[in-house]
Amino acid sequence: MPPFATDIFQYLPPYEVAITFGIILFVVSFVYSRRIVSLPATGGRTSTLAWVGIAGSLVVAAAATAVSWIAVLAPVVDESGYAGWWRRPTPLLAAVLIVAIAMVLLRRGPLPAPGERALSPRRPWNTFASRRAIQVALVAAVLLLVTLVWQTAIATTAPEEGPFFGKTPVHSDLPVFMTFQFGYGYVGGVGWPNHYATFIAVALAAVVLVLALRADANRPIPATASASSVRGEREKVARVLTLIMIGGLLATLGMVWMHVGSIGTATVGFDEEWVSEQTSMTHFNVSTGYRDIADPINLGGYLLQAAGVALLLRVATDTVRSLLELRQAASGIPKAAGNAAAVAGAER
Amino acid sequence: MPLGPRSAEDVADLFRGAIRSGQLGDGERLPTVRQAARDFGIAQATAAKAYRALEQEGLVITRSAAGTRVAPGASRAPQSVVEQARVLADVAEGAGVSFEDTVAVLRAVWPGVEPVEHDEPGRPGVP
Repeated sequence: MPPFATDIFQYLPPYEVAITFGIILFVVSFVYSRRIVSLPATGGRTSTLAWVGIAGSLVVAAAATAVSWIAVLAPVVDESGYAGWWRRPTPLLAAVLIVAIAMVLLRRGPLPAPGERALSPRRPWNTFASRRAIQVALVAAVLLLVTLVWQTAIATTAPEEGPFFGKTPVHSDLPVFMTFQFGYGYVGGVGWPNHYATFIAVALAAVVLVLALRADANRPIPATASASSVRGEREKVARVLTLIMIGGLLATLGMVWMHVGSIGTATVGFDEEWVSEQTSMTHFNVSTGYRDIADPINLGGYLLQAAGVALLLRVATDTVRSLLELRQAASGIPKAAGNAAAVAGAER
Repeated sequence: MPLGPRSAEDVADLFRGAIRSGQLGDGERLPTVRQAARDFGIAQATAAKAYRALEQEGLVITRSAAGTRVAPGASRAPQSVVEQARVLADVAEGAGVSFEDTVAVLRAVWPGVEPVEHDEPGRPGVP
């Protein structure tokens, strides 16, 4: 590794902090330089959507960064056994809040007068949403729910006298322990006290995203508006809202997997034999029931957390790019041919 | 074209026309009574009265969970066909293809229907 690269890594925040790998993935994402979001040139809601795309996605990325940094600064020993219950769902709850606020603000946009609205059917919530984005959100939500159900199902209470291993919490009557090596001992960090807030966040995210998309899909359309312009505007709104929610979802899924993987790697060595004053060897180790997959889950968590933050940074950046393109076009500044081509099909 | 219905019968007439013309397909969901009232600038009771009239004529079916939907056979085509027709109209309009050319393309790709011959290719916007 060249010396300057080592210097750069020295100044990066700890690797557990969401922004660290998030920034790296964000930079790498420009291999695909086409914008992933665009602002509508018509419809009267461009500035509101620009605020949502820029400030909203940055707020969610900041929330993910803040809670992951707090987790790094927190004591290594989790004394309660469920200390991180509020940190992991925070990025998703931030995304829920932003989408809910966006829903309210976007509803205030200009509407055609009653009697001048097109007759149209009641549209399903996903009419203007990108099918691929919804699929990604669905897969992330299912992975998160499966993890939460699994981690809740393996939880049990523990007798006060233990034995406890790993990051041992002070005793609690709550089911926050998983049995260690078929009941040999207990490790804290699982159960509903750890994950109920994340369950609630996933449910809220589903409800708020569906409500927001359905409200926008059924906004009245002027009787004189062209169908294609309406579709284009609605698709752009749906895309920004869906991507912000996916960013929060990925960040929370990543944090949950980092936690699940981390407690799953707990290993205790027995029958220690000192071969010198500083060195010892253990004759056998005991581990958690999913030790073999704990490392991949933990590393996958790092990747997903970073992917969520990178996506949010990309939404903010591409919203700024789109806003600048629109302002250039409005002021009549001629664009380079390449820029014009990028505008033409940017949001696809 | 501004709609501007004032009475329940006016509103029912609009939906009747939309259903029979194929603007709304079989099984397609109508706006909620509240939404219809807002769209037409009328009272909710007036919109509800219009929906009841359509239901009595057998043009729509109201179920509490599923809302009010166009009754089977009331429209010219089922929901899936009308939805795809809307997509075709969106795409054609977005691509600058005229209504006449779009219909001509539809005729040409429809099995068993004689396509319309042109001396020269149609140009968008040229009558």
